[in-house]
Amino acid sequence: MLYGKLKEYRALITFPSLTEALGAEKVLNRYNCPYASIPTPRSLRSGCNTAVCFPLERKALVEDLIDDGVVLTGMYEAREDGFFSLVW
Amino acid sequence: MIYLDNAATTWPKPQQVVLAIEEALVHKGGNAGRGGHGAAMQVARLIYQTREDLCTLFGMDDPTRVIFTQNATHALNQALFGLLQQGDHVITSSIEHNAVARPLWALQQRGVEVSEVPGISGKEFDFDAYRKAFRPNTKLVVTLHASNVTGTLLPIQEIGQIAHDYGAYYLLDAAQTAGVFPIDMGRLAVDLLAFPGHKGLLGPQGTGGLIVKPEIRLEPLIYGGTGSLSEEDRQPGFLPDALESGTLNGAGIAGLGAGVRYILKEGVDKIRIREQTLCQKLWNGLREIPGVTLYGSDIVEQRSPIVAFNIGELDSVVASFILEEKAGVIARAGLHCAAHAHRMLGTLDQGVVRFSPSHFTSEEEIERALLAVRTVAEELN
Ligand SMILES: Cc1ncc(COP(=O)(O)O)c(C=O)c1O
Repeated sequence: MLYGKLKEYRALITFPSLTEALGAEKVLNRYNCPYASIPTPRSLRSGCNTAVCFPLERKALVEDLIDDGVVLTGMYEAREDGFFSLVW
Repeated sequence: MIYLDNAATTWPKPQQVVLAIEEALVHKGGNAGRGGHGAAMQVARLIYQTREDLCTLFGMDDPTRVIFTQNATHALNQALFGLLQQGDHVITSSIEHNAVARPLWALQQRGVEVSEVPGISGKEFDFDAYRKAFRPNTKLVVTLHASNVTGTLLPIQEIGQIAHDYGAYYLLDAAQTAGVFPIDMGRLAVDLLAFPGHKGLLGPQGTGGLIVKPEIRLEPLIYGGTGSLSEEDRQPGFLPDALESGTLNGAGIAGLGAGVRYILKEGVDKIRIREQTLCQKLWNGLREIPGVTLYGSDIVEQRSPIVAFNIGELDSVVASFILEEKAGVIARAGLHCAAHAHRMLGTLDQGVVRFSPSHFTSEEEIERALLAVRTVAEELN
């Protein structure tokens, strides 16, 4: 089930720790990308209980996040029928 | 009150620090990392901002390698117990604070080998003896940046470089210098930096930290909840969580961040020059008073903002008591948790009186403090 902003922002990234999620927020801010920090979906639990979602059309920002040193454990497209690893 | 004990903890704090703590306590609820709700995230963001500001101040670029602790002592213990094991060798100086001397003594009981580089007053660090101290199993060199007794600065650039030449890590105790002297971990051969939040960084008590360069792995000093990998019994291996179990001092860290931002805005150099100017005035004034003995380098740039002295043979604790009673001058006397340094100075019995101004101290306060010392010295004769 999709909840909160995830219904609107269909790209979702997960992290090993909250500190990484906070770092990601900063980078997204810098790129003026809207985002929301939401509880990590149970099926994707990787470490950090907070995940960040943002608009799918801006999924290429994942590269900027990684370039900035943010450590991710996963990146997904959220659909009604589940979470699918992002590729582009 | 004329507060001249900023080497113990700075006071007053900038108004920004007070407001940041109030803002956190009044408007930002929650426990960072404990629940993903908005309240927890608000505090988490404040803490993260402080990590970033500390990185800016200390020339690092990875906020995850800033570990928050209760104070400098906690950070030093985390570094020392986290790194050293039975059979390892560590080198230290002869003017360390008990925050280093005692953990090293305890580690020695557990089979860690400890060498102290001898020093004499005026020549606090003997490079020949230092080089000779290295052994094949030397894992770490740990020294303070400036003595909390005399303010004497150690040549940390060279100490670190030589440690690296011998394949050892360098842990720097910046308790007396963080926020007052430039410390650029990007350029210095410093692998681990321990700092208090409540001294030169102008934050509240109960804050401090350890910055760890990449590739260094420390065993945790404390194990427990981190808000991450909660289903596992094993402690997470990634930073900062690995070394930050338990609830952080959220409001305090928010205040620390405000202190760091204040320093970045004012400029470390401006703050230091102001404090050194006040120390020069203290030094010059004290030197004129018959019966006063001064300790440490007479070159103000070679000291952190500390002036250490005695009045005749008067017990330093009594001297400072009289200074407070008669003139409201607050100084620290005694051994300053640093018996090693006093042994070197020859002041184990008498201790010393220590004046440490802040950049908020006024010229007039310095003059009144000098007058108070003169009065005590005259009464003694
Ligand atoms: C050189 C030095 N190291 C360590 C410390 C301990 O700092 P804290 O009280 O933050 O643990 C001090 C404090 O006086 C100090 O001067």
